[in-house]
Amino acid sequence: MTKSQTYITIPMYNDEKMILNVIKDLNSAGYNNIVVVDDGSKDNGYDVVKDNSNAIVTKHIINRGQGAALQTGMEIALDRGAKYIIHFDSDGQHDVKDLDHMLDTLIKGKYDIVLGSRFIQENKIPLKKRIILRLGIFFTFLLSQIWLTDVHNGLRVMTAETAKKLDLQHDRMEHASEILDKVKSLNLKYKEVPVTIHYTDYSQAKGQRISNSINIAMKLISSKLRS
Amino acid sequence: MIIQYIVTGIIAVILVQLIVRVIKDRTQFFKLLFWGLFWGVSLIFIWLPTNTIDKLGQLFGVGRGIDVLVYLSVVFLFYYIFRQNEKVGKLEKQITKLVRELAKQNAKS
Repeated sequence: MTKSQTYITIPMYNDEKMILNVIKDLNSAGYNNIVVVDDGSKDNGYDVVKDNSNAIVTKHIINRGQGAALQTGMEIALDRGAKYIIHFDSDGQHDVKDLDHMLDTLIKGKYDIVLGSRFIQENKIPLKKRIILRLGIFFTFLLSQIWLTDVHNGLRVMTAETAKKLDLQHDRMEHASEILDKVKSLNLKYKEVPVTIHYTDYSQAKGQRISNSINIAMKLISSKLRS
Repeated sequence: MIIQYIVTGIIAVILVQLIVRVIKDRTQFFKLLFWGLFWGVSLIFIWLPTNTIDKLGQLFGVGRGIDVLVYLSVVFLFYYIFRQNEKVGKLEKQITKLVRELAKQNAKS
């Protein structure tokens, strides 16, 4: 029953090679309400999903960023009556096996949002990535006064009410910090749970660069100064 | 000084380009008026005798008059960049809104 009321939102950018596997895994785990938002990809991901899966699929005609694609996906899910919403990546980094536990934690613990963390349990995280993520934790604390073990983990499970409240304004990667900022400012009840992240050559090649982390930090500071 | 001739040359090129643009498109006349005035005033400052500008500097408590102009230009440029950033930010939001509406209308299951 719960799974039929749960919508998985997947922002997709140039992931035509992985997306069908991701959808297949989700379907096998009993998650059939999947919203894929193709964020102006240069490949044929949109057609691949449309022709080969049962997912709801749409397309940003130009690239607007992961935050914008997530917001679009959440709005579509809410319009279709979602009770719970899950943010899931399209590159195969996330593990479907984590979802049941996260959803269970959300419902039984009456949390507003459950956040995945790759640092609670042992994950083979490349050193460079580990350093950037640790800096991100400290930076998020300075900006939002919320101390978490992982601040840029894209795996999140939340109630529909929370999704409505989040209303993401940052289109690009800053949305991850924006979510945490809102968790704090809206006084949302949250919990971090350990999740597995699969670092494959594919996902690593698509990952964030250090220069982009600096860019994200600058944008967040600038938006804080204006708010 | 050579610099005065160089800057005057650059301003002349800018003004000619501006005039050509306005001849092609009369609706841009206000632009010509604004920038013509701006560059005209700049030309006056460039060719004013040094001691006249320096008096302006002393009025502001800064040694040389040219320093006052540089300080004012920096302040103006920062403000201009700030305003432009704000404008770009607003435009980005509007574009996202538009793209999102289209995406929602075209969602296929």
